[in-house]
Amino acid sequence: MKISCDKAAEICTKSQYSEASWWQILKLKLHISYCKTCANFSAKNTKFSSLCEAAKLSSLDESDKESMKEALKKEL
Amino acid sequence: MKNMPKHELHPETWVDQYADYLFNYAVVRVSDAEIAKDLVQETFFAGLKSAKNYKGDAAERTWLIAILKRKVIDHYRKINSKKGKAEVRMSYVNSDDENEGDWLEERVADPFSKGGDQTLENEELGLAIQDCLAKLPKKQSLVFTMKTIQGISTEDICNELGINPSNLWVMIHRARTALMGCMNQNWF
Repeated sequence: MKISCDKAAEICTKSQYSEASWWQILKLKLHISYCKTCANFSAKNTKFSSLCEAAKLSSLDESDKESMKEALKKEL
Repeated sequence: MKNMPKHELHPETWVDQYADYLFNYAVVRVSDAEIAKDLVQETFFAGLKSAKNYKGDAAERTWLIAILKRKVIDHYRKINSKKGKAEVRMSYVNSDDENEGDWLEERVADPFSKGGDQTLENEELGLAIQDCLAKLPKKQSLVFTMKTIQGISTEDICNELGINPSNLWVMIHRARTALMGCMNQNWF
């Protein structure tokens, strides 16, 4: 049941994208119960996820960026 | 003796460095991804054209944002002048809200009206994240963007970039840790 801090961080990051299994989350919760560093990291990581959500981030596709680069190159 | 310019322009890095930042700025204002994309492209062209007027007293990005601002204003001028040609008053929306007008202009999201604080804060937050994202190694920011912003599945990202899932999670983890470190503590 015991996991390392590295493993805990990995599960924590996966769980931000709902890609950790319930079994992994259980192990993470147990780890957090005695490891303050990981508990802090986990809280911050979760907060960061909600910030990303609130920011309603948008980005251009890589293909759009490539065509922008091409167009710029022609002008240079 | 002339002062040396403090900043220089590097147009070859513009797309990688600023495209997403400018795009976020534009998309909030025009609420249309296609138009925002065009405005960003036009901004880069206009930047190249007026590069000789760049005095180097503002950072490159600030300078580009100033150009983009003009582009956004021009965009609204253009659609407003089109509207003026056929001033037909009609109800575009069904609403019980007496305070909202019938005119589209009155319905356009105004970041400075009620609820504006929230909108502005979210925009500022978005730009802060983009700012930090631009500082990451290219591949990390790409993987983070695909996963977090574009919501592409792990499997598809791995296929597209030719990496395996554990590579992907390591990169996402590093990107997130770096972003959290880069962002001002006030956000947390």
